[in-house]
Amino acid sequence: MSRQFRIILASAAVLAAILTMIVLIRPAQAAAVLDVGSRGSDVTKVQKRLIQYGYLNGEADGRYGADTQAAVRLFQRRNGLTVDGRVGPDTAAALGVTLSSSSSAAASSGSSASSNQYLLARLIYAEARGESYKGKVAVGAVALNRVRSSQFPNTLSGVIYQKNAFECVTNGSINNTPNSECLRAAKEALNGWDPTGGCLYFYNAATVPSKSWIHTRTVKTVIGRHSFAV
Amino acid sequence: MKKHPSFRRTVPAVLAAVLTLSVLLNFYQNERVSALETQISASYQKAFFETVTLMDGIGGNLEKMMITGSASMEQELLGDISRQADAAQDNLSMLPASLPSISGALKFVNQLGDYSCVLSDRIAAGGAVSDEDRELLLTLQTACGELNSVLLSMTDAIRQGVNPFSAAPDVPDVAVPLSSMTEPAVEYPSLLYDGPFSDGRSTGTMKALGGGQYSAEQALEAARSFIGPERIVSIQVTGEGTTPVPCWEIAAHVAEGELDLAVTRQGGQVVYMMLDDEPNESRFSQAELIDLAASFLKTRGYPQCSVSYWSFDDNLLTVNFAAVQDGVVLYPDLIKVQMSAQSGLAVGFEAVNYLTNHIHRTDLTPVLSKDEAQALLGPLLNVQHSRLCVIPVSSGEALCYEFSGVASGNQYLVYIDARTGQERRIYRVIQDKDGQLAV
Repeated sequence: MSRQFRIILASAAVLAAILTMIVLIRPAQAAAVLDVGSRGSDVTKVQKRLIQYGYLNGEADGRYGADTQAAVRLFQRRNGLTVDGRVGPDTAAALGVTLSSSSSAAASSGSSASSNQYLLARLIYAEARGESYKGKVAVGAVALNRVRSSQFPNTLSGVIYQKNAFECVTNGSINNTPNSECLRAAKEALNGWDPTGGCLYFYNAATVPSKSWIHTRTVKTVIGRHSFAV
Repeated sequence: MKKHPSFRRTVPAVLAAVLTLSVLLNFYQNERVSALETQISASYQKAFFETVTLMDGIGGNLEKMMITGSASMEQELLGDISRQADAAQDNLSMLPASLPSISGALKFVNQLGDYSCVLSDRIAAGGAVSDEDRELLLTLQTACGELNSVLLSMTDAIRQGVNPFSAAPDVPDVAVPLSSMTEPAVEYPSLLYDGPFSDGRSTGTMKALGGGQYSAEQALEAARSFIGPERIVSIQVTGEGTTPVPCWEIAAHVAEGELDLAVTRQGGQVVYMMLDDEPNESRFSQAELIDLAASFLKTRGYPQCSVSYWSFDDNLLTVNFAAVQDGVVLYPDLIKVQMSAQSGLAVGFEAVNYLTNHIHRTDLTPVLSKDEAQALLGPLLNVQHSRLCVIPVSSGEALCYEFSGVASGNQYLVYIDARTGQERRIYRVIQDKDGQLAV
């Protein structure tokens, strides 16, 4: 065998081996993670620890902003953790904080209600976690307006899992764990708050193709990056 | 240089083995993917064929409706139609056709199902199928026929091996003069899903708006006095929307966090207010907060309201109020107020139902007396309280007696129509430390 041929064979085999490993090793399910935009008591706990250890100055206000992220990164670097600026289970354990994976707003009012709230919260987290609180409630309200509308399925799970209705269902990101802000937004929407006034569609005007059918819908309001339409 | 003799043989052998392994793995993955594809295709086919069968059944029943003369048969047929329409919408919502074409079919099926329910209820209460109803049924029957022929053409396509789901033909958008809202399949027993009375919502016209067109500055002033001027750190108009009537969107910074509001152009009324954060602790009791919420409404100029439902979590108390007229509780006119348990101030508000429905009711005199209505209740209920109220029903509103009582250890609310004696609604009340819920 010539030397060149062996090199080619070797590289092809290494590549095949790597691809095999990628296919076989399933990515871990996303656990509760605090990131920029998270809010709530978990964030306050983390901030208090960071202040205590001297990584963060100021007050623990419960809002995960750029300062908190920088402090987390510093902490992660000093402690040999993956430096990504997000507080996952490893970082939380190193800080000595337990993250609650579901908020204290868990329903005491029947399992069906809480499962609807949780499902809606997952949708909100997947579609609008970078949006303001109002934007999150708006996304939840759109799903509920669809349940009420005659053009869409009559159940929340029917509306959410309807094929091609929501991008996050198609790409699986709906299966990530929602944070407490999304759980609260879901509850708000279920309780009747609707900053869209009855809208049935929402889209990101910057990323949707200009020829898309969604431009034929009437836009009622714009909240953050999302345009809401009927 | 002397090389290990085994080296020259083992390296190619190992490489070949790894290559073979990856090829086999690829083959295995392909098998799995096509098995899954087949499974999915099978469930689509099931959903589709089930829809075809059900639509056929509905068409047949609609034909019979035109012919029958007896009320009992009409009720039976309408019951069947509504059940079949429910199942059809269930199956339709599983189909992978692009949204616009399936939404037409879904809309028709949902409206038909709802209408059949309404008509069936009316007949059960002693009413009859009017001429207008018959005309509407004829329209529905024609629409059903058109829908069925589209579905049949898709069946033909499947038989010929073409996949109809990737480019489904457009279902004709049937202009049926029915409301565009339909009953959800299940009443969501979430704590305050507008209470159980969320009908009459979002029709686009708000009857309780005053006059006058508010400019941005005027809306800002209205928002300022609504929140309470002493609380405001900063406030500005962030945009406009039609939610559902033309509104100014306003954001205000207060001690509790950031408030988002919408104020109507006409009448300058606050449609909603919400706080983007949750308070950190509770300093007030739930009873105190309910009182504070009631006085908040009073100082903001809302008429006398009665507490209907409330819930408490995340250090926030959300109370659902209903307007009261002459001692009669008006359930369609709902307002929600959210109080921070840390500061005791209002941080949330929602009044779409109130603004849409609140008018002075002209006739609130019952035909039956309270005792007569109570006699119509089922035997097991031990009545504790009763009062007159107005509830939203599918065809508008109904004046009812609300009986609150206990049966087999559970709390119930029963609504008897004060004019016809018909039992309109029954709710089970679930009460726990964090609130009240009616199912």
